[in-house]
Amino acid sequence: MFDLDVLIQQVVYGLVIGSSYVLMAAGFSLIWGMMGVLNLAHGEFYMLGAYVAYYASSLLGFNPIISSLAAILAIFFFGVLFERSLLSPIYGKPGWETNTVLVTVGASIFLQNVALVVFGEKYKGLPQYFEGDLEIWKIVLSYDRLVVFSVGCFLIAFLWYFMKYTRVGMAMRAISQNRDGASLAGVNVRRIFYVAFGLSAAFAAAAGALLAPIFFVYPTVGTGPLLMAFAIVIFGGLGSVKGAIYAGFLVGVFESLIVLIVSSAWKDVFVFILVIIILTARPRGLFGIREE
Amino acid sequence: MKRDLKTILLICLFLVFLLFPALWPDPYLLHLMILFFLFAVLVSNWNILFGYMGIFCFGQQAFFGIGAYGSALFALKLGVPIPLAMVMGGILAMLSSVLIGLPSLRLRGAYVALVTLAFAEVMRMICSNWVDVTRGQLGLTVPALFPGAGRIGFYYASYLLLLISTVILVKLMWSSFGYVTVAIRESQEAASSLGIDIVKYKILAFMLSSFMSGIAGAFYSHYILILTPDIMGLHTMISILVMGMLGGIGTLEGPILGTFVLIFLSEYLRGFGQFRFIVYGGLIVLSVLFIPGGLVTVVRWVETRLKEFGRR
Repeated sequence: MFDLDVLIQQVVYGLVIGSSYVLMAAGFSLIWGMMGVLNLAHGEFYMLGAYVAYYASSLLGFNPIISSLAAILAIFFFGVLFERSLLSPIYGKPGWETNTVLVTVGASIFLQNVALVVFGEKYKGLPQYFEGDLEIWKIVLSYDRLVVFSVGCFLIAFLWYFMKYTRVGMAMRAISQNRDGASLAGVNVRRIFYVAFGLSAAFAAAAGALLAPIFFVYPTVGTGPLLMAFAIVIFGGLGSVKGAIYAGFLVGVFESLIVLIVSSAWKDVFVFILVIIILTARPRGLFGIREE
Repeated sequence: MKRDLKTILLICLFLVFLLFPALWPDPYLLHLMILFFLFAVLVSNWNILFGYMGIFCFGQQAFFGIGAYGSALFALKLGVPIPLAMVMGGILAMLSSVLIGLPSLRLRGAYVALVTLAFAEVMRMICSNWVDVTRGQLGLTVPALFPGAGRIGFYYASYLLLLISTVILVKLMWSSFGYVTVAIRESQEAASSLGIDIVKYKILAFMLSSFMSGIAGAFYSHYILILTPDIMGLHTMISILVMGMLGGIGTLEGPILGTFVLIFLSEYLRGFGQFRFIVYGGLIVLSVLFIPGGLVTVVRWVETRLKEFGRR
């Protein structure tokens, strides 16, 4: 039906896009699973990350990779600030589950429109990381995508290591499993929350900044990635970073195969239908944490 | 004392809305009122699922959109008379809710949110890609419900819709159905241990909520006269969410109040020009931080103050 090399090419593209989905979804999943906060402003961290990278490279003349790192760092602190000023005050009070959703929606509208006023509605693109393509056995991959993929994978590996072996990561997993238990064991839950929130924001910013040279940057650029993160998180299982990693790559590859087989206009339809079917069969996603 | 005061207030409100077109015949104001009526129906019916039953439905915009597109297409392609087409649009939305309600029965909380949202996105993309029928992003031109009568006719039609919807909801929530829904929200296990058929009640709630939302959508489509798939976008759901939560979910008056405040607030903020939505977003954040229970708590507070005043 298709040439094998076209198929492999699409799978490779899918993995590249998948790596950015993972960056976006892992943090979203962490915050939702651990804090119970559905952060609808998550897409705005993606958008802000992309803008910080854009201005760091166009105004300050940084190398695109350095500006991505600057964006990650800047949005980490922004995320911490966000949690301290907006979520902390209402967290745990009556009705906080819905109030945190509402606060993040408000913040999302606010940030999108600040971006519209400050940065303008024009689409902005970052210069390429490196020009040219890498060619291995008929598979062509631009260096840009290679950079996205490798930096993305590096960050994912870092997150994996962080969650599995560091004390803070273990504390995060403990809180996801049982908040009161973790608290009794001496975990400072509130402090872990803002570290986690900063981390989640930083990873979204990383996705935005890394993809900026490939896609464009504009104020509402975060909506699509937010929806995708939503799907991937549930697909992988709420609160499971491991699940988000698998599901992100899987959805990336699935999506690019649909582009090849059907058309790009229908790819999201198929992704969402797939998610509905999977959830019907496995009500807690692929790797969901069991709730009581 | 309290009962009487409330009744008098409600009757006053009813009369103000009834006489509104005569008192302020400004067409733009009427337009806002019509939007308020239609969105109030949509938001209060979403509130049955989200506020009363605890079903995290993030796909209400799909029911609204299916009602809108369904009714428009029945009228355009099959030549069904518009009032009948609107009811058929509502029924179509109701059927679609069974389709999406069944798989989400096994799921809890956040997972339901995704399934319903995914469903809405699929519907939006179908409307956007199926250009032969829906004209996609170009927009579908819809025949008007009252070709000659203009806004005033539509004002009363949508007002009537809101009244009917509110009466149904009040009757329902004060009946055993209302208690059962709250019981299900608080604990499914406890409710089912008392012999409550959870599946039946959830599906019934889905059907009612989606039917009314679909009808609201059908009204909207024959009023606004041009439909694009964007009405099923995430931002419609976010508006529903904000209107409902700002007013106060799980109460009957909250969603109506929230819708009213937000529709007129966002119009008022036009004066801020390009800063309009910055102020809008900022106000939402501030309102959550300072009135976490929603606007309903303010109303309740005033109510108790008045009661104390009357007692004195």
